[in-house]
Amino acid sequence: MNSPTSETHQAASTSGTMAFVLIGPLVWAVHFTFVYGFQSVLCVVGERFSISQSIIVTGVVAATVIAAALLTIALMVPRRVEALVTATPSLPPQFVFQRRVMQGLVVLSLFAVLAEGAAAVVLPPCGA
Amino acid sequence: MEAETRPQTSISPTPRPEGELEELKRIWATPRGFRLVTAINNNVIGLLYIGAAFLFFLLAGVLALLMRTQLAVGDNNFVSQDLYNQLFTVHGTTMMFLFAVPAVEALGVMLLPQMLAARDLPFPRLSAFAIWAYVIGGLVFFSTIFYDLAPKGGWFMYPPLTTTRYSPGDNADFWLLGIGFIEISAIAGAIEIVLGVLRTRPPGMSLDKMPIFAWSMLIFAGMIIVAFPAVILATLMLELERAFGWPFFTAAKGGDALLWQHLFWFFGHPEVYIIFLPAAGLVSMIVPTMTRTPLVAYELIVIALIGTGFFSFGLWVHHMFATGIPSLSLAFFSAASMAVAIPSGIQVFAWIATIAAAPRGLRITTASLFVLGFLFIFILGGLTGVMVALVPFDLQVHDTYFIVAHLHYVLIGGMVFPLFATFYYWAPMASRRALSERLGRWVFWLMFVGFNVTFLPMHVTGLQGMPRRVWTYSSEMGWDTLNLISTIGAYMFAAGVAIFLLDLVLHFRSGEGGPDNPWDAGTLEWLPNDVYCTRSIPLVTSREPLWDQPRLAEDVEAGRHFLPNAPTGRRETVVTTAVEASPDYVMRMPGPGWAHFFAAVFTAGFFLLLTVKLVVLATISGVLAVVSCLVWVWELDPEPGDPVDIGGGITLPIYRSGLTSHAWWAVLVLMVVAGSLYLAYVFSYLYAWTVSPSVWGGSGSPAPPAIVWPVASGLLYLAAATAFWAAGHCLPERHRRGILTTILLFAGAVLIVVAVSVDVMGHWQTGLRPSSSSYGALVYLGIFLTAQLAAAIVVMAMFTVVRQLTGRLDRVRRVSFETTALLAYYACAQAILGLVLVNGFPRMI
Repeated sequence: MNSPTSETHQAASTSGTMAFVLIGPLVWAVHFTFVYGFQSVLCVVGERFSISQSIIVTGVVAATVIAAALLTIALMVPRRVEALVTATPSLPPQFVFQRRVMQGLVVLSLFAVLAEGAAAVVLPPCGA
Repeated sequence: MEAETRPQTSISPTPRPEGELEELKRIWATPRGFRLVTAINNNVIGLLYIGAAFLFFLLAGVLALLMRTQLAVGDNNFVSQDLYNQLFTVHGTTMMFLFAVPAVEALGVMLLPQMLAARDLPFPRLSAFAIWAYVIGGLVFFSTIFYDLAPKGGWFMYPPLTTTRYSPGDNADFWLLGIGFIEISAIAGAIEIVLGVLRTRPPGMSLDKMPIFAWSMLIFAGMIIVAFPAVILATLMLELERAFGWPFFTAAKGGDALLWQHLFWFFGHPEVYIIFLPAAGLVSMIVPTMTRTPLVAYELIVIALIGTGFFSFGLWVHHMFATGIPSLSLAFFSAASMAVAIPSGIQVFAWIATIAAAPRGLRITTASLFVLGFLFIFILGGLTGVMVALVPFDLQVHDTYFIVAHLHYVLIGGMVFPLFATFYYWAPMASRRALSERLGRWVFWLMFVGFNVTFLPMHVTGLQGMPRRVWTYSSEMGWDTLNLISTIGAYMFAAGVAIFLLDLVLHFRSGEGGPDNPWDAGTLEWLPNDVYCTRSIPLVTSREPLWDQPRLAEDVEAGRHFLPNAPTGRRETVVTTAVEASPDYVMRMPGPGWAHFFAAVFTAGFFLLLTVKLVVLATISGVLAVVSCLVWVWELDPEPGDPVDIGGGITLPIYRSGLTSHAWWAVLVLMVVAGSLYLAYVFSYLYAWTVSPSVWGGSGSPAPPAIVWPVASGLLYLAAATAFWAAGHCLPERHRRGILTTILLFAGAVLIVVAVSVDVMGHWQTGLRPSSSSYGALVYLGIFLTAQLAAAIVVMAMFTVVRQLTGRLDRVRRVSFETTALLAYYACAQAILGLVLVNGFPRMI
C-alpha cells in the first residue's frame, strides 16, 4: 500500500496541476456566472426595489477588471502561480507544456472576459 | 536499415516463459455462443456499441428520407401531419441521443485501450452495462414510431407543447423516461472514459505525449459529466409535472416554460461540441498519418480542445435569442459564442498547416477524402454559426430552414464525415480485411455531393422564409424547386450510405489477423493486438512512438515491455499516475458475467414499465436491477495480495484504496455528476423566484417551517456524516470482524433517512404541497434529489455491512466502505446546502 503521505501528495499534485492548467477557463467561468447572474437578478429585483441600473454596469465592469487582473497575473508569473496551487513544482519538460497550455487558455479567457465586460458599457443593462 | 541496428528494449527479460502467451489468451478469451452477451472486452462490446449506433443512424436516416419525400413538392399528402410530427421528433432525437453521442462514446471504448496500450478500460462491466442499457432503451424508444406512440414535440420537447394539456397520452413520456435513462447510460460511459484516459495510460505517456484523440475524449467525457445532468433534471421535472401536476413550467402556478429552455440548452449547446470534439480528435489522428508528418501545433490543439469544452457552456442562450431576454444578457452569450470560434479555428488551421508542412503532401485515401470533406463542410457550418451568433441576424432566420442547413452542416460535417473517415482508417484494426478503397470513393463522392445538394439550397429556402417543422407548404410560396433539389440530394446521400453497407458486408470480418499498421501510423493502436490488447505494455517516450521507436512493435510483441504476463492469474492492467504516467499499481479487473447484463435489462425495464404506468412491474424490475448491481459489485473489492513484478525492476502493489485508487476517483466523478444536477436545481429554484416571486414562501405560499425543523434536519445530517466518519476509524484489523463498524454504518443510514423525513415533515405541516405552486414543486424536488441519494446510501451501507460480516471489510480491504462513506459525505453536504437555500432564501428577501 502507498503511505498516506505519498497518497495525499500524489492527489494534491494531480489536482494542483489541473487547477494550474485550467486557471484561465475557471476564472472565465466564475466571471461569466457572476455577470450573468448579477445582471439578471438585479434587473428583476431592481424593478421591485427601485435599485439604480448603474449598479449593474458598475458591478459587471468591476468583476471584469478583477478577472482580467487575475488572468494577467497568471500570464505574467506562471511559476509563482504554480507554486501557489500545486504541492510540488513540475519538472522542466512537464512544466513547459503545462505553462504553455495554461497561458494559451488564459489568453482565450481574457478575450472572452473582456468581450463580455465591454458589452455592459455599450448596452442598456436591462432593456430588451 | 536503421531500425535493425538499434538495440532491443528489454524491460522484461526474454525469451518469455513457455505457456505465458496461452495463459494471457485464456484469461482474456471472449465467451462463445449465447454467452457472448456476458463479454466485456472492449474490442467486443466496442464493436457492438458502434454497430448499434450505426443502426440508429440508418433508422433515423430512413425517417429523414420519408420527410424529404413528403417535402419534395408542395401540398403533398405522402404522410399525415401527425406522423410527420413524430418523424421529425424521432429523427432528431435518435440522431442526437442514440447515434451521435453513443457513436463517439463507442469509439472511445473501442479505440482508447488500444491507443493507450491498456489491457482494457478500468470498469469494463460499467461499459458493458452502459451499452446494453443503451441498446435496449434505444430500440424500445425507436419502436414507438411503429405504434403511433412516438413523441411529437421536436427533439427539444419544449413545454407547454409537451405538457399533458397539449400532449396527452404516453408519447411524450417515452421521450422523457427513455432519454433520461439513455443519458444515465452515457454518463456511465463517460466516467469510464475519464478514468481510462487519466489512469490507464502506458508508463511514460505524460500529458504532453497523449494522443489528441485521448485528449478530445477526456474533454468530451468531462463535458458529458457536467452537461447531461441538466437535461436529466429537466426531464425529471417535466415528467413530474405530467404525472403528478408539479407545476414547474405552468405559468398559472408560477412556473415558466423558459426554464425548460435554459436547462435543455445548458445541455444542448455543449452537446454540439460533445459530438464535434471527439470527431476533431479523430481527424487529428488521421491527418498526421496520411501526411506522415507530426501534427503541427499539438499544444495549440490541446488548448483549443480545453477552451472549446469550457466556452461551450457559455453559449446556451444563443438558442434563445428570440425569447425576449435583456440585450445585455444576450451580449454575454454572444461574446462567448465569438470566443468559442477561435479555438475551433485553431484546429482547422493546425490541420491545414500539417497538410501544408508534409514533404510528400496528403496521401489521398478514402479516409483522407472524408477528412477533406469534413473540412469543407464544417468550415461552412462554422461560418453560418458565426452568422447566427449575431443577435440581429439570428432574429431574422430563427426557426427557418437556414437553421436546419446550419445545424446539418455542423453536425454531419463535423461528426458524420469524420466518423466515416474513422471507419475506413481504423477498420483494419478491428477487421481481418480492410474496407474497399474503390467502393470507398463512391461512398465519399455520393455522400459529399448528396449532402451539399441537400443542404446548401436550404440556406436559400430559409432566407425565403420557409419555417422548420412544417408538414407541407403551398406551391404558391415558390419553394418547390429548392425542396425538390434537397430531396434528390438526400437520396444521393442515402445511396452513398447504402454502398458503404455493401462494402461492410463484402469486406468487414471481425477478428484479429488484419494487416499490421497498413497506414504506417505512429500511435499505439497499431501495435500488434489480440484479445488482451498488446502482449506487453510499452514504455512511451514520444507522441508518435511507432515512428520514433521503430522496433517497438517487435519488442512489445516479444513481451519485452511491462506486464508481459498475468502475475495475479486474472485480468489486470497497470494503473499509472494522472500527470506523469508513472506506474502506480496493478489493477485486477473483472471478467465476463451476467450481473451487469441483467442490471441493464432490469433498469431498462424499470424505466419503460414506468412509462406505460405499470408501477408494480416497474418496481419489481427496479428491485431486480438493484440486486443485479449488488451481485455485480460484490467481487470488485478483491482480497489484497503481495506486490507483483511488472518488469524493469518495478514491483507494484495489486491493491489500492484511498485518494489515489481508481474507485475513489470514480466516486469523485460521480459526485461531480450529482453536483452538476444539484446546481441545475439551485439555478431552477432561483430562476423561478425571479420569474414568480408572488408564489414564494411567505408571499403566495405558506411561509417556510419554523427554524427548528431545518436545524434539526441539518443536525441529523451532520450526525449521519459523523457516524460514517467514525465507522471508518473503527474498521477492524485484517481478517477480524468489528461490531462497532456495523452499528455505526446502520446508524449513519438511519440518520440520513430520518433527516430527509424531518425535512419533508417540516414543509408538509406548513400546508405546502408540491402541486400548489412552482415554489412548492421546487421545494419538494430539492428534497427528492437528496432522498434519491439517501436511498442509494442505505443500500450501499447495508451492502458494506454484509461485506463486513462476511470478513470482506477491514482496515486494509476497505474500498467498498470508502465509496459508501464518500457518497454519504457528499449527500449530507448537498442536503445542508439545500436546507440553507430553501429555508434561508425566502427569509432573506
